[in-house]
Amino acid sequence: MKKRINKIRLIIVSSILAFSSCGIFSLHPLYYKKDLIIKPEIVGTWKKKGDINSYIMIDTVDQNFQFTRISNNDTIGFAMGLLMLNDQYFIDILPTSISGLDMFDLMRNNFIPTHTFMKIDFTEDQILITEFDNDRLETLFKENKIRLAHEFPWKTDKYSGEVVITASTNELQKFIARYANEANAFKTPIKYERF
Amino acid sequence: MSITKQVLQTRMLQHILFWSISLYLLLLNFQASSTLATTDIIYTGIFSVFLIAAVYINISVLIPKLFQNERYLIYLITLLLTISIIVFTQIFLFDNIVEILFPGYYLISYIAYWETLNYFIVFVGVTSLLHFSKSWFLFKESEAVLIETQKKKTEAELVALKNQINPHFLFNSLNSIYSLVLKKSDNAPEALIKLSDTMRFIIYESNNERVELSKEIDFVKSYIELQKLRMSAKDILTFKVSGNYDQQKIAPLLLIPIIENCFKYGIKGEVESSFVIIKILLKESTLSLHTKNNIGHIDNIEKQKSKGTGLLNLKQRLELIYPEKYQLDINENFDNFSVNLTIEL
Repeated sequence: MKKRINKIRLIIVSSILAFSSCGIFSLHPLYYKKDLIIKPEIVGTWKKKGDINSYIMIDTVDQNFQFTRISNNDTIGFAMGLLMLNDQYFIDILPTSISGLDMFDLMRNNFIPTHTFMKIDFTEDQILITEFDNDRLETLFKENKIRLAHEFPWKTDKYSGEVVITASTNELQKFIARYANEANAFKTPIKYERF
Repeated sequence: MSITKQVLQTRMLQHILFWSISLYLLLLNFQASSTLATTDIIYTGIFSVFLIAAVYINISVLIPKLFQNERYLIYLITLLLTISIIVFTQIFLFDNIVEILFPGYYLISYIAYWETLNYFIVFVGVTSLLHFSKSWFLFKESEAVLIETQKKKTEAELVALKNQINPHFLFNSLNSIYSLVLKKSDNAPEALIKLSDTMRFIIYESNNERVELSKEIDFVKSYIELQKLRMSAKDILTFKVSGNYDQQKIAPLLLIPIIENCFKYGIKGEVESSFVIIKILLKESTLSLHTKNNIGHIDNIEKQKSKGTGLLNLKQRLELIYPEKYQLDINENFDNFSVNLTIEL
């Protein structure tokens, strides 16, 4: 039984790292409830351009978005919030399940789920998801050039680890609104087409 | 003087100390993460520049120009307006100018307008209170100096007035003895003995701020005894003392100018009959002295210009020693002269 739990945890960790190496980790969401927007046009299944094994599914449940990422045999479920900052749409995703297993049940005692933010642009047939450039952001944090509450929780003598932003939602919104104007703040957009 | 005291008394050092502590506390407050970063220092520095500006505009301009001229409402409105403008400018600077001044840095102000305003109100409020408390201490200090100066001045005036009485009293007494000598009276030697008794009181007691009322009355009695020696059989003297005056004290030589006046202008030797009435009454702590005498010609030796010197001196002393605690009524008509003095001892 114990071996089974450990195996599940290993899958979870590897899956999350595989997907979320693309975003900012934050303890607090990027939105307040009042900021959330529902856009029916982004609901559907979207296929990654040039990769026949990667899909995302966006659905609405009780006026909330569900975001599912399918990559090869892994399926990760997220709660998704859509909001607009400075005339730009952003999504905030929070992992909820992995391959159908409820994350909160499995990891309650060991993990705190973090929010990840991405820029999103969409038309009727196409979605562009643009991830923040983590390397650049972490460098800026390490060089003390960003004044935003954060920690390096996995830092060791030899390894700095990923940054986790601990700032409040209000501070996050102000920072992202400003930082998103930087040309090199993001990676190359990933294009998804309606499936 | 110890270094600490010197530091606390030097205005510039006081301000440096205050702002050093304030900056340190602000830095702790504005520290974004668990470790202090350069961005925290720059942010706190910029924030403080505006804070310092608001505080010194208030202390150096608004308080002296408006508050101290009692234009309180205008002061309050101007202060709030000034703070609001400074806070608005500060936020505008963080949102638009700081990224130009510090390229590559993300020094975003996360504090809302009202929260920033609160910081400014607290700092301006605290520094105003410090400013007022310092002014209050300075005022109290100068008030104490003023009181001390006034006290010394009063003491000097009293000494001067008492010094006037002594020769005046001696002069009058010698006049009396002189008239006895002129008449070749056998009472002259005894008069000199009585004079020496009264002079003893003047020399040994009159330098005290207060003397026992019984001693003052004994002195009056000795003086009357001295004057009686030059009175003729026709002269009428009424002298009464009543009340329990053992526990009371009085400023020395306060009664004698009035008593002196009775004999100096009332008793005219053997030319015609004269009268002097002296009544001293003590009721609880109120001392009353009533005198009445007839008016005759002045002894030739006494100069006309010295008339009333004693009473004028008395009035000045009463004003200094018993302000608003005495009443002195002097009545003079063609035949007689009366004085009523009441003092709350």
